[in-house]
Amino acid sequence: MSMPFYVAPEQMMKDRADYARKGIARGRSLVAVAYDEGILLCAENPSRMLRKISEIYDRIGFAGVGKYNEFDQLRIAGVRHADLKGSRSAARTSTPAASPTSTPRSSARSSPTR
Amino acid sequence: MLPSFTPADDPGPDFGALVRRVGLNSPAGDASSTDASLITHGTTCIAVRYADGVVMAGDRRATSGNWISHRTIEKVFPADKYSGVAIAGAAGPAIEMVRLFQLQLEHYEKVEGSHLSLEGKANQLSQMLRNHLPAALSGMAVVPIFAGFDTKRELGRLFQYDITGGRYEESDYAATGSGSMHAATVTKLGFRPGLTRDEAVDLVIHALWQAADEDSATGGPDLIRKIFPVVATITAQGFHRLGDDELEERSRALIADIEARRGGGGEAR
Repeated sequence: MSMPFYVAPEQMMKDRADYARKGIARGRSLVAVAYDEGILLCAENPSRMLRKISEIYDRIGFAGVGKYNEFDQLRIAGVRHADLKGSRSAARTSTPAASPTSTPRSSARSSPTR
Repeated sequence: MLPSFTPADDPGPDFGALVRRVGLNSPAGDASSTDASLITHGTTCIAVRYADGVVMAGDRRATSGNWISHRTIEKVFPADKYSGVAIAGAAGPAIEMVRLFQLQLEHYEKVEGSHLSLEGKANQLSQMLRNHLPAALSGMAVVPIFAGFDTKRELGRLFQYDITGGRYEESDYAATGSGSMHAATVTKLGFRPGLTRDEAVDLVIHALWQAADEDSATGGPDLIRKIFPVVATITAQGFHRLGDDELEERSRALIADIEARRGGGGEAR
């Protein structure tokens, strides 16, 4: 059995932080601004396929820069968490079933290229 | 704690699979059959294709055995912007199924970043019905109609189901529930391809009226309590539920028409 090199825990944490910081530093800028009616997310996105800003739940948005697959996994985990929690408590502000006269929530959703 | 999975057991965009994976499965009915009079049942729903899309309608009565348990139940729901689902059968599981279906479509859309096709949505509902089969066999059957506007083909489409999850596309109209035979017959006689919106709405109101006339579990328009069927159109503009004012006007016109045909007299046949 081979012995792994000894790495100090502090060094390991520092390496991880550096890894994350490097990925984010290379990403394009993104801003989130609070204003009188809510929050505005704005990101520069050169891709037609990849999304930087997306919906987690009714009034929860998500935006990320860095390694795409990493923040996308975080996004999906967020969607799952919110939908599971919401499905048990019906804490949603505008369920399609609760207000059939209004258009369902998906109408407000943007196209795949967000 | 955020739910995260290894690639091998990742449920993907399937919300039902996610619910099962985290162990929140709703208990399926046991094999012992349940007393039907203890379960609230929803009854008649109908969907008809017309020139601009589909119109869906459902009466407002829920029954437990021979009791009227609810006068204003709703059986027609939007599934997402371009589709709707109407339910008949055990009301509790049916409404739960609709809620899960709405969530599933939305969950898919959020995770994948794109809509399911209308066909894909119909298949999702089919799968949910198949999972519900054990409960259906113990007396809690749910039989929905799924209808929507196919944005790719630009036409309205309807799907009928059975308790095993069988999915059957209908070209003209579909009906479900205890009064479905009468509602379907009226629709069949009044149907022609390319009905206008007004004609289609009047046709489904008439169909539900006749179903209510023959089937005790189906409720007709209640002019005293101002209860009217739920009627919705699904077109290129999306799901739109008709207002009670319009439904009252059309119901009164239908009643006047039926009275006139009987020679204006209220005497017994």
